[in-house]
Amino acid sequence: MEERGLELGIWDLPAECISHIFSLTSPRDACRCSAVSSKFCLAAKSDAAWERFLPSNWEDTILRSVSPSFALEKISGKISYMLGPEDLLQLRGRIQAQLSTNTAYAAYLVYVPRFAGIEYPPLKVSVRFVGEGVEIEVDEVGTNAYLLTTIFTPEDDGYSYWNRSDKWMEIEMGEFFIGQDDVHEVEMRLWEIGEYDVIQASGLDVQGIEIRPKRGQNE
Amino acid sequence: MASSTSGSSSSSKVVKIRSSDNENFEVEEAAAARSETIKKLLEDVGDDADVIPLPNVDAKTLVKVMEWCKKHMDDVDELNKEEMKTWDAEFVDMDQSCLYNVLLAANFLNIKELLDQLTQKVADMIKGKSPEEIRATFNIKNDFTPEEEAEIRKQNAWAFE
Repeated sequence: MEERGLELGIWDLPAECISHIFSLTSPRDACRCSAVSSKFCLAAKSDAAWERFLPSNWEDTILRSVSPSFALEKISGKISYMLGPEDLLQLRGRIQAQLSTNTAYAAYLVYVPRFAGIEYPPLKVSVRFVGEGVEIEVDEVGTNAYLLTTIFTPEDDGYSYWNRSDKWMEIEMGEFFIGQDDVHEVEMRLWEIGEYDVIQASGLDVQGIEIRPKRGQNE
Repeated sequence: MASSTSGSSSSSKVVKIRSSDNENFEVEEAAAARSETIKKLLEDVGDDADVIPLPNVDAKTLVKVMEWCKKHMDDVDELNKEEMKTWDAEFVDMDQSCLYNVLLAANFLNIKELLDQLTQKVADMIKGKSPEEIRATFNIKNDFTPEEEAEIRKQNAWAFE
């Protein structure tokens, strides 16, 4: 009777079972699983695998966006567009960060410029924790973000963009570290500074803000 | 569960279950009832139950599952928690084929705690590994073309650093 047991491999488990197993690893492990085989890839990309990595109220706070990439990468925090008194672009996203602990994250703005050939002066970006009742200071310094430019050559004074494989462009907005027991709200902001006489709100298509573990220093 | 010293022996009532390869087992009802599926079947048939057939679980696997159920029959008090943890860790330390058989059985028999332990075990075998190491661990054939694999890695470059 000992020999009667069927020889099984992990691929014999039902897909939802494999997705559940992936959900018990980490976002990084689940992404690596997607490169293992096509069946693993499907299971790794399922919502079931990623739901656990997301904040429990993610469906309320997050605009889900469909794309060939992963749900968690696509965390598009609640985003509000606001035009300031001088028609300057402001964009603000907030997310309750119940992410993996002891991980450095960065927020990235995903966008494409609507018109080619327009020179974009730098905008300002910032990422920070906010708590209940914390006042937002509008005139915070922020970091330069060169969304698309050929005339500026940013060196150490800000972030520059890069092209993603999905035809969108991406620029870092800042980083934050989730420690052991932190449950924080993270705020990501992008705003236009008044010294440049350009209205950018009409010139930018914003897909959202992605939050994911910080890229290595070697890039 | 009441913990009166003499009355708890009523749990020694025995039920019969039958594996897919037609082996019969006698198991304490309290152990068998760790399976929601068996518990429900027992409720449905009442005391008329002769043998409960489990068409999806072979004898070898059923022995394993019932070993776990027996161990987890009673509520664990604080003192025994550590000991139980060690026992559980040793229990899930089995060869992969066996692991998946027991996992599928736990799924069919609806024994949530056992299922959790087994899925966690498989997850731990994945954690921290590269795709190549995962393929080697689970004996998985890479069915991507080099281009497809490169594209997946590119899309999630941060995960492969």
